Amino acid sequence: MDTEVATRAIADRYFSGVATDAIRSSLSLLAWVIQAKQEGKRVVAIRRERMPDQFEEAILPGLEEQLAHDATWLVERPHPWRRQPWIKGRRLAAGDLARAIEIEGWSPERAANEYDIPVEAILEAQRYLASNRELVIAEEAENAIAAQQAAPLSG
Amino acid sequence: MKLLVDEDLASRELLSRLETAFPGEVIAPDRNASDEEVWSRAEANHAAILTGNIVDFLALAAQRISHSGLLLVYRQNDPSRDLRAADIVSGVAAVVARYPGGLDDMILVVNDAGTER
Repeated sequence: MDTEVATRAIADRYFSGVATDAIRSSLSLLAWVIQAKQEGKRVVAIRRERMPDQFEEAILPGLEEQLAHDATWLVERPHPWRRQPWIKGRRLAAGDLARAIEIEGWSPERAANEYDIPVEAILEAQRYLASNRELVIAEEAENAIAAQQAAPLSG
Repeated sequence: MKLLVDEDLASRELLSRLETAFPGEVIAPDRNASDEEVWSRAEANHAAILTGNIVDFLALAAQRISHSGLLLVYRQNDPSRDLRAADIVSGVAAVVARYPGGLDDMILVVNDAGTER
């Protein structure tokens, strides 16, 4: 596949067909790789369960959103105010679940056991959080505000 | 005091710790139950609900004349203040100790370890 065809395919798949966005994102990633190497770092791919304690990760907004959209275990459900996807077959919002795992410091395997859902679902929830943290935190804030304002409802 | 744990908080770790703290008093959630179903099950068992789904359960509480108690857990995007399972159990224990007569019609924030709202 030549470069132009590959660029077009990636743009169609992950960047709504906008080739310039695909190229801009690619160059951004390349710049990050170059900088990391100039700092003497290695740029590698590693399975999530083997992640070291400290690392840098490249987040590509268009790509992350599309990968989340392609998720197997995340489903959309109508809700009056929440916009997060949910874990299929469960009343667990993906971002909330990933935040709970983050707060507890659990591995994906431990979390899968804790909530009795597949590891793949945990990984998808964590990817969702990685690319939608602002929304997840905003929805947490809605709940926090409601809790703090609940005084008129007390018995 | 019976306590029904909403699915959003119901890790094995939390359920196990709660069961240790309150033997025979903890009700695990049904999977994929709606908020209304959770509420009805709690009322049928005269159980307080422990949930992080605050906006939605406060809305349900506002529609009811009475209930068996609502215990709320919220997050603050602050690792030093966000509650882990052990912290939630400590907060619930503080609430129960403070209100030995039960939690009927009370809405309490576990983060505040029993501060009535």
